[in-house]
Amino acid sequence: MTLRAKTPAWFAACLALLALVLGYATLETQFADLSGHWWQAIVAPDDGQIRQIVMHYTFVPRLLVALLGGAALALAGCLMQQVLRNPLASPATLGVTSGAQLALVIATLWAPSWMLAGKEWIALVGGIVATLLVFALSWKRRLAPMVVVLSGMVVSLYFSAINSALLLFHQESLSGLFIWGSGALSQDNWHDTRFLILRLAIVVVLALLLLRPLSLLDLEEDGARSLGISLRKLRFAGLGLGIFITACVVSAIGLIGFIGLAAPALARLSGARTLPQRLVWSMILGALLLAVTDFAVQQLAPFTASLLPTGAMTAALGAPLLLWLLPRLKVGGTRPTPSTGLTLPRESRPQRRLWILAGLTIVACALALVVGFMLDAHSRVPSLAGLDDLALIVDWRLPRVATAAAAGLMLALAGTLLQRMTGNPMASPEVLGISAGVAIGVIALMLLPLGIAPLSGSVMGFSGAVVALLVLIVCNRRSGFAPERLLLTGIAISSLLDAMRAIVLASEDPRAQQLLSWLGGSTYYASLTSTAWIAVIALVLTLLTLPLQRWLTLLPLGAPTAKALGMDVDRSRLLLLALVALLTVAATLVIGPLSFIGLMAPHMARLMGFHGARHQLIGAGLLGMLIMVTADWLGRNLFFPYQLPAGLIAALIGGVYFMWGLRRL
Amino acid sequence: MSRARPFIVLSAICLVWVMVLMSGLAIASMGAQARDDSPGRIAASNWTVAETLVALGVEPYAVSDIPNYDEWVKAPAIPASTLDMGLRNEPNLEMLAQDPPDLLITSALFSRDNARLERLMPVKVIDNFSTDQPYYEATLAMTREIARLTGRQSQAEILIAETNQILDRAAQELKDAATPLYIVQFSDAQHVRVFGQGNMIGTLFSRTALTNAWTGPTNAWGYASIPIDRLAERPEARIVIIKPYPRGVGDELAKNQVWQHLPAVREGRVSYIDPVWPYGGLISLQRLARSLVEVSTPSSAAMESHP
Repeated sequence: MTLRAKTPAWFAACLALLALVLGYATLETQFADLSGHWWQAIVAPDDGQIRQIVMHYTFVPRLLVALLGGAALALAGCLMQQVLRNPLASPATLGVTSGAQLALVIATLWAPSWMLAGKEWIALVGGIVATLLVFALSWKRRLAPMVVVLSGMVVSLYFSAINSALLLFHQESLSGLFIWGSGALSQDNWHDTRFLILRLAIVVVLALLLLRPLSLLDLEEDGARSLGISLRKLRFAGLGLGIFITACVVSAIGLIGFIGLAAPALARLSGARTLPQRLVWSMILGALLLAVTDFAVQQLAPFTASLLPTGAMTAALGAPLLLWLLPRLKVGGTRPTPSTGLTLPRESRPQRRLWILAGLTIVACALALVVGFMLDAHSRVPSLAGLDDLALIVDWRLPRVATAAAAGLMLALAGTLLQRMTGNPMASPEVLGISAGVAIGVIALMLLPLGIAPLSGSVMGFSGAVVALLVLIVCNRRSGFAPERLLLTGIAISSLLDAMRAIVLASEDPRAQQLLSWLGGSTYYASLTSTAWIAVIALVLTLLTLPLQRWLTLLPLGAPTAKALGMDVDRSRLLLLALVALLTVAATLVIGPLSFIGLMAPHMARLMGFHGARHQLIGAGLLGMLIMVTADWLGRNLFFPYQLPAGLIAALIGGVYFMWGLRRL
Repeated sequence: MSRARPFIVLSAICLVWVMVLMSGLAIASMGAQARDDSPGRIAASNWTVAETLVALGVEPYAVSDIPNYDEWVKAPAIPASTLDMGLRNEPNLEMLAQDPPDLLITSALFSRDNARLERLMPVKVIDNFSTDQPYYEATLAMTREIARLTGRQSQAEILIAETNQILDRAAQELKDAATPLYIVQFSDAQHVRVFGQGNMIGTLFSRTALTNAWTGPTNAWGYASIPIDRLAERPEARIVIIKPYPRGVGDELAKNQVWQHLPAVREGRVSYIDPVWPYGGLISLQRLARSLVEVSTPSSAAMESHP
């Protein structure tokens, strides 16, 4: 098999051949009329011949930008993975891409004149701000790999939440940013090419200078330090380079997520061992991957009324590739070392805090039911509802409050189970890909002309979740559900959802707004009946979860320890996985695939001092309810009568708390 | 057993929910009231319906997302007394529940779970897309249906006659228009929505001598999203741009080499028309027809300047 060969040359040669064939086919289909004048059109187009102009300003820069962008992203991913020693690290996980996007959205809406100065600079500022935030959050921990990735995820989620909220309100004005956001590579001049070639050259030279010290990071942390290397400076430099070149790519050609993760993984898989080998082959493979995808997209373009954005298509093609690769990928050696994990002081009396939390949750539910805007002769004055309004409260507020609480509870429990089971702080129901599976099912339903009945929604969502679960099981059975592999599988499934979402949004389908709202986690469609069901399901699943504390106490100690203590590790993992899946499906179907609660609530519970399995479960559950109910109330009333999805607000509230908590570490 | 207490609290909270929900169901089933059925106050979640209501002289009780209506549909203006009921796909039910309208008109696109809304007020799905009919016939049917519900049949017939007249006059004035044209709306500086069959632009092409330069596939709303360079496929075509530009696009176009080299741009065959909702009703159609005539007749050569 070629992939097992000693060097990635075979693989690269195959890709290059494919690129040549597709490139020739594109030329033949799009520029057949220029046949024989191709070279002239590229080098010195005739000003009066629009076809030559088009070829000169679109085809050639587009190919170059794809090659440069792919190489740059692969370089960035490679540097980040080396510095963080985590195969999951990529430009997107560090918040650079969402920071850049947010900066562009804000500038477009409120300072359009700044866009004149060049949108790449605005995106760069956004990317750098996001990165500085990540560095600030992890500075005290000497930029320890785990903390950096964790901060990156939080910042990323936080910025995308703000992004989505703005997009909901300004869909028509920002439609162009959907296209940019999904990585359409269309070019109309040579500006982006020049921009990228200069910056890539600078970054490559700097990366070469860092090559030797970076290679030493392959040693364990202590080994590297004993050789006299300042780890903090080295990490800062390595990450800084990766982030800078990512921001350049993002600002020039939009979000192209998968390459930064895939190219380094492919290079390593196909036999690149040392860091210099990995860097070079990652860049070659990244460039070829993006170019091949872009040619394929150009081949499809004439047959559809929608735009096929290359960045999103890369992810759509890349996700199955990643799933196929997973059983062949060795991730064990690069897992974050436990010494850099999160350790926190143990709270001596968690019992009392739990009671306080429970009290707060009840108060929040009551307030969310009673307080709201009342219509008063066309003025909108907030007032407390009296008893007259019982019907209003019961009919229109109770379902939303109760649904929010139930979903928050279930997601928090799912997140706690997952984090304890995998011992990875990046784990959350969405990372596992189950909620992505549900969402893929629901999106498919929206796009297929099947009629939009609530029942078929749940059927499609459930089928999506089952498929995702099957993929998870098939890909992980042989490894005994090892944590890292599980997370990678989940990420691959989630990236497929991201791709679908980006394609739908870029297609400018007017249904995109509905989709965006659902994906943000809206309780809008909750009814009394659906709420009663979801409350019962939440109750039953909670009761099922609580007796599992022995497993949850032993699993974080690692599989060998747990086995030595007489635990059937594989069986318990499978059962926990099933429980997580059920919790996630139930929550996602009513409130969309929001991930923040599942990621945050368990952490917040730990930051509040709930360490025992049972205390963490209950604490996280209560926190999940509290945040979701508060978020739902804010979403309903902040911009009354406009409503924001509860999931977005939860991300905004939870994110601030979590960043504050990280600072204290 | 003090360790079990939080667990008891948690299950107690869950039980309380379930009980509250049960009582809620009971109260809700008692709360249904009889209302008199002459539709007076009408809420519209679809801009096209809102436009038609105003055109028929009905003052809507509530309309969705009025600020964006003002920017994208523009005319006819929504009366100041009309309530804003939030985003188009999520009319604020908490607000409507406090003083429900007599009828909510929604479109297939924005309706999911209408049975639930019907506990609050009658709901009708009226739509000029999502039907089997072509755009113009569907819009006429929609207008007549809204007129029937509001008792404005005579106004509707006047509006329809007026629209036909305007279309006929447009056909008359455009009978010599031979140059094919692209009608586009910018998405960003590199991409446009180009309109084809299946919306009011298709209607105008079929009722006048104008020919559409775009013959490629279109989506359910009658447009295709394409990169600008594909506008060069018909070098002889004119380009008509429906405003508004998304923010920032106007400035970026100046740098766009392909745009600057398009034959239509170099030879001054680009015109701009005021914002019009291409998926709208008869008033939007009338405005589009007038604008097109204005930019297509020889006397309007001056229109080729930038906006």
